[in-house]
Amino acid sequence: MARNYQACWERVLATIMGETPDRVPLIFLTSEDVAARVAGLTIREMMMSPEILAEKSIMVNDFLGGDGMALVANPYCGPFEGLAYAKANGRNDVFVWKDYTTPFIREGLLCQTEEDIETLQIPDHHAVEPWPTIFKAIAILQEKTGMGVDQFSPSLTWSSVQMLRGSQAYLDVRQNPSLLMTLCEKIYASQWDYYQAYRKIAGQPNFAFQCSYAFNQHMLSFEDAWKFEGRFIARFARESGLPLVIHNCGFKPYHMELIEKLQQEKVHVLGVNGSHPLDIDWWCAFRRKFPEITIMGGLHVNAEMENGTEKDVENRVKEVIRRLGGDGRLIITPTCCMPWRVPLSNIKAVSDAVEKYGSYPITIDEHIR
Amino acid sequence: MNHQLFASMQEQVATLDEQNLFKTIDEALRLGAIPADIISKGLSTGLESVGEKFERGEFFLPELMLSGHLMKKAIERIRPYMVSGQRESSGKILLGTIEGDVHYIGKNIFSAVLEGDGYVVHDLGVDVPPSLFLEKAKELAPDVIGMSALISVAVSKMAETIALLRDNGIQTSVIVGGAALTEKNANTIGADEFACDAWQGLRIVRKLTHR
Repeated sequence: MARNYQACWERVLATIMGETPDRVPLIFLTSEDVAARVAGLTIREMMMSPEILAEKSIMVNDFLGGDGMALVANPYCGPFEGLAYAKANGRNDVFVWKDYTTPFIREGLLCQTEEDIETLQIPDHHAVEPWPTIFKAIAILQEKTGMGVDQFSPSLTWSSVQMLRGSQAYLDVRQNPSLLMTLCEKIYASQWDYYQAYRKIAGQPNFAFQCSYAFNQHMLSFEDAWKFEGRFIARFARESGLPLVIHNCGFKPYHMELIEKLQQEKVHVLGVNGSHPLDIDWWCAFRRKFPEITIMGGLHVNAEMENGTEKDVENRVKEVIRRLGGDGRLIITPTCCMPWRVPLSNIKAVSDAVEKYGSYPITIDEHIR
Repeated sequence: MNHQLFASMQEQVATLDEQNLFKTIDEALRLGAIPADIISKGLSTGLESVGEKFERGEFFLPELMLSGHLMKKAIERIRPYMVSGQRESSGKILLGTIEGDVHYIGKNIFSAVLEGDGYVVHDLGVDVPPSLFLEKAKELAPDVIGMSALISVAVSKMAETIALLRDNGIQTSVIVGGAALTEKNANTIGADEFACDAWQGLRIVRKLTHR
């Protein structure tokens, strides 16, 4: 059955903005390997033109179902920002294209030395591919479906730090923090340029889907994560005026600590998107602490989605909805990106379970909240 | 005398005090301490303290990496005093990021900690195809094989690699790690062990190599 794009987007937007929709929304975040296989084109072929990219994105999103409409070449400042850095610095050789899996930059090669950091060229996101193609595709997506522009996805700053500086960045935290800060400032400037190009070519977003990869308890202390990433997230929110959805798919995220700190900094946090902790009790505690924040998650792609049965998937969706969805502010999202190994029957099981248990008003299991 | 020096070494490793650690090692060697004792009674015990601080959330990846580098340098410093065959290594580890994934940070941090604990690490790098894991497993006969994947799409290649190893008679324990994995799906793909961070990985490798 054809999707009603307007109904899908109104459902998502209402939830993020704190209203109660007709049912719990469902969004599938896909990885490029799923997209390429569904579309029948390699990733580079899909990115040959904005028109092809938009058309294939609609095809893939319609195939998977749910309420989402995202570009299949993930428009966040992860791998494709790596590509832009590689091109801007004349180092196409450090970027690894794959036909059917997500492409990536080889970490640590662009900023091996202090001089590399000082001379690092920031990509012009209006001109350096793949960004113009991606932004134009988003505009086409918006034109054709009414969805796509609203969500803007920078990735401050640790994702780029790791791509550019590699594991040396962790030593820099202790041995050369001022050099690392120089790199972070450059990355921030690049992300700001990305935002300006996005607005100009794709349109004005309503909120930013902001990655916070430094904020994992086994990686950095909260103070260091704040120093090298959090302060830039807050700065971006202040300078752009955009509310944020915080994304982090690490093992031990500082979700609560980060949101608390951002709120102290007067940043408006709309939602949180994370795969961990897997324990729903933790998310119930999160809900009690932050009742105004939308939770986007509930399913881990490499747990029930990949290895469970359809019944396992249904039970997990039912439990998440009944424990977290009663007051709205819940979007079921298998997190992080779905790989090709996920059986189609389990993808359908998610949609079926959301339809079955997710219509408002929802029966809440009060005794287990 | 040595007991005091070993205690100092433990403290200096635990506080990442490179300058004083090397002075203490030199002093211990001058007084005739056996290199094996320096490692087991001084350095390794100090590394345990680093791991405990990491588990308690007092230390993080920067400290874990620094401790690995510090231990490696310390072992290099006493190596000339080792007699032939004496604690050549704690074991041999084959390590790589699986094909389809070029992230190396997690793997490198694990490698630094392993080397710091005296293991010989054969690092195959990133984007390593299953056939290369097999070829090197046959050639090097490692005690443990470690595979890393950050992105979820690489997990299927891990499963393929483990199956290829087993089909070809390689029964070496395989430890997997990386953000794309959980303990449950590590079991599903046929891995023997799963580690959610470098320190847990080291503990598991120590167990697998009977240390």
